[in-house]
Formats: sequence, structure tokens, C-alpha cells
Amino acid sequence: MANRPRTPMTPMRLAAFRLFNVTFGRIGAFARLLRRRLERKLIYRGTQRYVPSSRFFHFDELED
Amino acid sequence: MDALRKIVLSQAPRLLGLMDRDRHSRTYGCCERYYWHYKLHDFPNCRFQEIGEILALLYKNDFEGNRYCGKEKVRAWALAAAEFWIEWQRPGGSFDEAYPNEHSFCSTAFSTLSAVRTWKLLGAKPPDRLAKTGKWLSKKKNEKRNISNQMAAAALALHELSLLTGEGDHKLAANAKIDRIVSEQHKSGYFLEYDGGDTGYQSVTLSLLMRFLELDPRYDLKEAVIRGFKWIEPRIDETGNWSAAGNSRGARFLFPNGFALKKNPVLERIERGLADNVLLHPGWMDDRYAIGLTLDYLLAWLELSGSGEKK
Repeated sequence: MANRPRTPMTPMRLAAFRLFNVTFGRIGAFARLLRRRLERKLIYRGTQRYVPSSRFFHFDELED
Repeated sequence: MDALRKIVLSQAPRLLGLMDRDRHSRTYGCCERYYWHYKLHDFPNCRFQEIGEILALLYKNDFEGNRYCGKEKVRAWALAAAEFWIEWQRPGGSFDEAYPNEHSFCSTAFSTLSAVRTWKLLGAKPPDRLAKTGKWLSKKKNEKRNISNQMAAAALALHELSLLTGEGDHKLAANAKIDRIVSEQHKSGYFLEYDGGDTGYQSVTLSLLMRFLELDPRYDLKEAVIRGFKWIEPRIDETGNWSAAGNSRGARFLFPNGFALKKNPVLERIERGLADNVLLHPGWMDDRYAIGLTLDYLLAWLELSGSGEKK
């Protein structure tokens, strides 16, 4: 498949992410910095681009 | 009741879209898209793995429009769902739904039932660590809560587990749970859901208890189920709906399989409600609740059409 999943979220990672979101993330510059970093990591730099709307089922998959 | 078949087949591609079907992925078999794909959740909700049983039933049963029957990939995905589920077993044998280390009785009961049936339907050997879940469910009495549908799911899961593994203790524990459900049934016929009866959850409990009766035709349970149907029948209107007032939990879904197994006239009302598109069905529901209701629709369809191997 074209878009193989990367490392899943974990409780510790989510806690750290949320802590950032509700502290530094309230400041516009930090929020924009985070967004740019995520876009670079998930969309532009990754070997497999993250596309949220991908990987729904299609009947083609039933055939070997 | 062709509406049941059509709804199941309309939901199957949606449910498959919830699953990580890439066998090279580290989350292969995970059915919680919010975890494996969007990464918005930090752990997978074990209830989503119940999709595995739906896939196993679709793989095994040939009926009109079922494009999944006999497809090896569908079999592999069903087993992957069960295998991913057991990977998330807590050290004590329980599973989580809402948060890590929840040790949820409800989720452990329902998801165990589906995983056990997936392995059984597909003739696959279950992992040894499944025994830990059997022990956890057997010991857990959930005494502070009177939630009959969860207890019925635990009883059926333990009974199915005893059939799969030959472990007699699980069958004893299953019957102890049935004893409690029957003893706590209100004299008017409802099974307790917290502090009263609930029409929607009564249909869930009746579906599970009717399935239990197919495995073990206990006389006291048969009587309890008859009282249960007598309570629910007059509450349901001609389109399968009912007044929300006076229900302890306010559930609005109606599980049809108990009525199908009983050949109960409420089925005609469900059919009318579905035909008129006025009855809550899986297509209206969110991902979490669509799974359980789709499974029950599929079991009901297989029962009514006589077309399937559902055991």
C-alpha cells in the first residue's frame, strides 16, 4: 500500500503534545511553528505521505 | 427481512475501511482508524476489533450479494483483527476501551466474545494467553453495577471460550453469571440496567441470552427470556420505535437477533421501520456503535434466511 502508517500515538507522547498545545501552543508563533513542523514531517519529508482520506476499502483489494 | 442483508452489505466496506489491512504494517489488524491512521488516539479501543467476527461470518456464509464469502483476504483480515486484539491484553487478562489501564468489564466481555467466535468460526487455534482473559472474566462479578447486557455478554463469551478450549471452569463461571441475571430480573420481565429496565438494552440482553440458550437450554433461563420478551413486545410500536420515557439508559437502538431467534412478531415492526427509514440502524450510527449493531443484523439475517453457518 502507498501510505504505510508511521509510529502510532502513545499515552506519553499525547500527554506531552497536549501540554505543549495548552501552554506554548496558545501563542500564535509557537502554534504556527508546530504546524509547519508537522507538515514537513508528515507530508513533505516522509517517504510515505500522510493522506488522511486514504486507505478506505475498495473491492479491488479482495482479489489477490 | 431483506433489509437486514442490505444494511449489513452496505456497512461492510465502511467497517473494512476502519481496519489497517496492510499486512506489513505494525498495526496490521487494528480496526480503530483514529489510532492507526489518524493517530488522534493514544491507544486502540478494543471494541473496534469486533469487526473480526463480522468478517469471519461474511467469509463463511454464502448469500446474495456477499462478495466477501470464501475470499482468503477476508479470512486473513478477520484473524488479524483477533490477533491484534490479544496483543493489547492487559497483564491481568482485561482490555481497555476508554483509557489506558481501564480494565473494562463491558469491553472485555464483548470483545472476548467476538474474538473467540472469530477463531472458532475460522477453525484457527487461539493463543494460550486467552486463558488469562477467561480467568479475569470468570472472577469479575461487577457487583456494584447491575448491567445485565454486559453480564450476558460475559456469560456467552465464557461459554464460547469453554467450547473452544475445553476449559470446564469457564462454563461454570458462565452459568454463575446467568444465575445472577435471572435472579435479578424484575418480576415485570425487564433485565436490570442500573436501576431499571431499558428497551434498547433489553434487546441486546435478549439477543445474547437467546444465543446462550442455543448452547445450553437451561429451563430457568428459557422462562426468564419469555418474561423478557413479554416486557419488551408491547413497548415497541409498529415501526420498531418506542417512547424514551421510563427507560433507565435512554438507548434508542434495537438489536433484532433475539427476536429472530425467537421468531417474534416484533421483527415485522423492525422491517417496517427499516423500510420507512424511521428506525435507527447502523448507517445512522457512529463507528463504535455501528459495529455491534451490524453484527447483530448479520446474525439475525443468517438466522432468518437459514443461509448460514453462524456457529
